[in-house]
Amino acid sequence: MSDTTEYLSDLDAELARVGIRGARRERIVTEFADHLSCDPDADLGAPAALATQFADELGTSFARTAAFHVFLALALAGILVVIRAVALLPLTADGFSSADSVALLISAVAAQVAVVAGGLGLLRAIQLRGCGTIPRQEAAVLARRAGIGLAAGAVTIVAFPITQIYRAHPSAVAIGSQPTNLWWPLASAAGLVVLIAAAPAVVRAALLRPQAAGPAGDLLADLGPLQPVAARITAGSVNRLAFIIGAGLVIVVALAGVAANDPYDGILRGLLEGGAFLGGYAVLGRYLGIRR
Amino acid sequence: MEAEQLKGHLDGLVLAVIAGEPKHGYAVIEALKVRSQGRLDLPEGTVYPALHRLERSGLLASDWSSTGRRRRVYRLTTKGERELGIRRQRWREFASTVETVLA
Repeated sequence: MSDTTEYLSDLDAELARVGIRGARRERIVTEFADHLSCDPDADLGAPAALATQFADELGTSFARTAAFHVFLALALAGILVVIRAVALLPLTADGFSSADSVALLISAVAAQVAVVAGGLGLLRAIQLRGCGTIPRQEAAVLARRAGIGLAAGAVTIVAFPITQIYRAHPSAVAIGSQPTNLWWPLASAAGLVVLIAAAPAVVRAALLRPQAAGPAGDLLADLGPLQPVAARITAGSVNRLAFIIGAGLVIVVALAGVAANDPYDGILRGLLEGGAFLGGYAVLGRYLGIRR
Repeated sequence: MEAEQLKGHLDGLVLAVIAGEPKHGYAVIEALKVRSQGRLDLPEGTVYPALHRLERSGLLASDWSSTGRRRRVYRLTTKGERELGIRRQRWREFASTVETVLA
């Protein structure tokens, strides 16, 4: 094996090690092969160091692209979920089994997780605009936010249809027999296609392993220009900020209940929403880079 | 000039040498050497990751060469031309300021 062939083979292996695959890896190796054919004595550097530099320099772009793709896909899927909800309106409660109700509850919870993860991913991606290289931990946080957002979006879409596809109960027949409800399976399928289209960007970002050191930001860092104000109010405590947001949720939902002349229901819903938010913060906070 | 001193300037230098005409990676590195009269001591391999990053950020576009050997040719996009203009302006202001102080 010649030195050039060995060098290119090592570079190929190192690129694979840092998560650069497919057409991009092939292209990089081809470019280096071309360089060495122009100047066989060129000192291009150690393959491991070059592969790491590629991962570091592409990390920001891959992570931001994943976040943007997921947010866009979730926005489109959200419109389709609304269309599906409208299509399901003609159904009476009699047409729903208990499994359907559970599926809709799962769908509703997953939708909120998707909105939070996708929204936070977008916020962090905006903060990283113009950032040259991204720390390894920051890249992992963005990939997780995009991945969780996408997975939760998919659960939102498929939870209800699964009960219809796999459970041959009377309501499935009833839904199938109503022409207007052709819309909900179509909207579900289209939503799933939109989310699947965003998946490759998430996989690319998750596979890439930049090596740059440095901490990932937290919820305060996501706030961008509002960060100094939020830090002053919360004395720099992310836990305090989460508690304030949770309390805000309780108040807003409770006030909505008061406005709808049902204060008791509003307060109950508010407490549930606030509790769910703080529960989600406790469970997923570290994983999603909301707290350290 | 040491590589350390070039940090923060490499993107502008790469954009500048591609601005004249589209170039493949090796030609970009050669142009950097020629235009700096050999004073840019740049590890050659490090230019390629920068080229890929600049392309991902929309400042460069690239295609496989349609003639001869299979090689990737980079060209400036409209966004890249705009960015180069901004970087040139910033550099002139910076150099002028430092010159004023040092003098």
